[in-house]
Amino acid sequence: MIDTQSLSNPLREGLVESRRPQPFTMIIFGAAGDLAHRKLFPALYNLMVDHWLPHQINVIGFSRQPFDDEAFRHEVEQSIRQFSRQPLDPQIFQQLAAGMHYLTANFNDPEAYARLRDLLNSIRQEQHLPGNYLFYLATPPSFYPVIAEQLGAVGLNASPDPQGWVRLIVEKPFGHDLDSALELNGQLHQVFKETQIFRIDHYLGKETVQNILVFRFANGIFEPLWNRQYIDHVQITVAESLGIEGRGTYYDNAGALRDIVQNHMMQLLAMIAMEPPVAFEADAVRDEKVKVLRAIRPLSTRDIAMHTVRAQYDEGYIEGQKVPGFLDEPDIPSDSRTETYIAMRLLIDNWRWAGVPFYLRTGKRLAKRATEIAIQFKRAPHRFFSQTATPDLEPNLLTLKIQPDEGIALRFGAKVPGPIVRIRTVNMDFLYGTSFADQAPEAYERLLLDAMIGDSTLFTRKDEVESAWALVNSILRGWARSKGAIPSYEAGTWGPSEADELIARDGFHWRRP
Amino acid sequence: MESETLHWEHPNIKGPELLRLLRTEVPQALGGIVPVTATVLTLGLYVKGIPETDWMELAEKISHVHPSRVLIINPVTGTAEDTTTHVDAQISATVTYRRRGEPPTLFSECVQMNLRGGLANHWIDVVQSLIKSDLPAYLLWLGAPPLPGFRWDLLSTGFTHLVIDSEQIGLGPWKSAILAGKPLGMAVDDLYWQRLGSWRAHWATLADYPEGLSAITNPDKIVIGWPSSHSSGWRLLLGWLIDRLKWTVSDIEPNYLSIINDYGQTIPVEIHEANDPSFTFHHDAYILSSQSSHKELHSRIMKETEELYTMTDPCYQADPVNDIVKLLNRGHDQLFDFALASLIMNDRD
Repeated sequence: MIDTQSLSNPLREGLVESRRPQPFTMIIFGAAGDLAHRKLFPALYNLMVDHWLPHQINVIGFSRQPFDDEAFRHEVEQSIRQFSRQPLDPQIFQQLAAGMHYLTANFNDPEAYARLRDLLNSIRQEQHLPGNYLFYLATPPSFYPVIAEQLGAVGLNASPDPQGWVRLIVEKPFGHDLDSALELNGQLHQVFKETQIFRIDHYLGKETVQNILVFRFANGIFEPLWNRQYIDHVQITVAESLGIEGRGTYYDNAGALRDIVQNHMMQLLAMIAMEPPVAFEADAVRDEKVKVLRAIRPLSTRDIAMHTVRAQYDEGYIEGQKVPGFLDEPDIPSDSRTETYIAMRLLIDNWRWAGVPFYLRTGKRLAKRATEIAIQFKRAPHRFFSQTATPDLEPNLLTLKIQPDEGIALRFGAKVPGPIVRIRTVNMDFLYGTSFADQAPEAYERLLLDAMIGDSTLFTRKDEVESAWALVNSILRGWARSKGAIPSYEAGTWGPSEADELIARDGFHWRRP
Repeated sequence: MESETLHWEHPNIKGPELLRLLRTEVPQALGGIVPVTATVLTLGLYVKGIPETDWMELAEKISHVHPSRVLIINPVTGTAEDTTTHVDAQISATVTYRRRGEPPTLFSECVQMNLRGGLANHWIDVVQSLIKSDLPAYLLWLGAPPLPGFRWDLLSTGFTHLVIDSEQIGLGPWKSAILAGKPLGMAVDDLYWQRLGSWRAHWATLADYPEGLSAITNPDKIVIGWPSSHSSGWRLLLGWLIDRLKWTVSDIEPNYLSIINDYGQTIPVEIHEANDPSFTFHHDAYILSSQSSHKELHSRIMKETEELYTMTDPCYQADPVNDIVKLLNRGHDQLFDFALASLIMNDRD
């Protein structure tokens, strides 16, 4: 297969117009499922409304649910009506629906894949399309190896055209632990090359997450301060006020560490701590992220006891409503040891970050929903205002707010008006909502478009996934050895007191988002 | 997020009074609360001599997307300079409310200024003081280009970008502005160049294919069909190709150009009048033809009589609000400067 985009193309240089995908067919495994309905169909529709899709696009749903083409189109229409950020325009939807097909099939039925291949061939020949195929695995992870193997068996892991492409999008979780992640990567690589595999972490599609790199590397004033000389510590918070929302079986097998830390929080950490890449290109960016993940100091059993805290939420109140404790949620065994909260302290052993603690915390049923990264700077070296200054003057703090109030805030001291010098902490706030009124695309829109184009910058690479799992695995092993009771925290609070003690040992405290 | 738009009218005021009103009216309307200002840019719309347009409506649509101060500059000539120097102003301000207890945000302001008397000629003096400091400032010049001797030096101290639309009157009348603005640090942007981005992106995609790449980058001959009323279009596209492909122009005639490629070979370029814009690249047995019609840009690559590949993309259509919103999002496109330098500024048109 010739990768057409690797040919030197002088007309691409400097072009501000974004690349549009070539005509292709998207095949969604698990097309009857929740992810397809809530995210994929609305994303495809919005991309079409915003003129990002090529004129010729076909979508094949592949799932066990018995539908015909017409019923499938109706399902898609309903999901767009319910979940799309832009209202359904019947004319535009008809363009999308015209290329929609459905195969009722079992994921491990070889005959179904032969039917899929025949359908793809007939679409290609009837519409004179290049053999560009985008496979999306929106299925339970246990089917990933099966589907990949079956696609390989019928030759759909390579394009029938020398200039065509075949790509595979894989949803998280990428494994349950390091061993299963290695096994899954091995199974996918039996059939697909790494360059064909797009592991999706929807956090990377968020505008504000991408803005971390823009903020750091497109502005000259922050990067000189972005190191151990000026930064005291970093706090990364992913707080949810929701509980497990009917996903008891899944969540009890996963827990906060696997569900949030291994993927989203490790990505945030890597983007905050990485060195400047040589270019904003897939491998250049991902090389630097992997270096950070590999530089995280491994945690010994003692470190895990000292520097990680896990907990489960107890009953409490969220926005005035009483909510049950984790162990009383449906499908959760009463003796479950699955964590709904984790706080941890990590060190990055490299030149830039030596000695700067990174505190990570995430949890369900916390006081409010907030995802943010707070970078606390060291205090001014000489406080000559000390005689008259207010004693509670806080050190400078830069907060990158990912959600829900996307923006950036810088905390600093300012003189209180009056004849004597008094200093008060004030905030300089930038809010996306007030500076950019344009409606931002959903994360899935951006990521789908990138996969259609073949840009894997915002997708996680094999070694990223494995490095993150290596850290998480060590924590899981340490916890498995610990037989003591798991701390709890009242729903609607900011977590257990043990987490406060974890950060207080270094003389800091968690900030309140 | 809730928002409200406040409106005022101030006939017959002096320039400094307008600045004072902009500072004081919104806090007064909010009961003495000074709002947080979200403005990220200043946009001037120079509309002299264009009748029957609701500029405030257009300005409000643009400022709804980009938090900005939009200044509608309408010099009204024909009145005696020494007696009637004043401004008839309309102001609108959009204020947003995030949460109870937090100060409101002044999201955008639109100011229509009908400048009379001496201010009709010296409008830059009034506008200078209304431009937000340290933020990008664009001037979209919608009227006839200024006459020779215009004070670009004064204008460029306030506006960082001059925006033109060469689809209307071509690039020729703007050459002096472009030449004057550049050394003063004022970028020139062209909305027609931006709309032609659909052609550039389309060709870049075609050049991802070996046959497309060969046909566009190494042609034996180029044939251009274009409406003569919008001739800056083919010039801008050809200028872009000349710059990107490191070609040089050896001869320019009204309907013919001669180009030398980087191997020293001559590429003849024929231009003829056509209703629908088109470019055709001939390369050995291959022909790549691109034509714009009915809001679509359609290309096909042929090898003799065999059709190898076709591609269709939407073509950007002129839309005053969308055009300017998109330009403000993207900022200045350096490729426009390069395209100008490689063909247009040497052209006699």
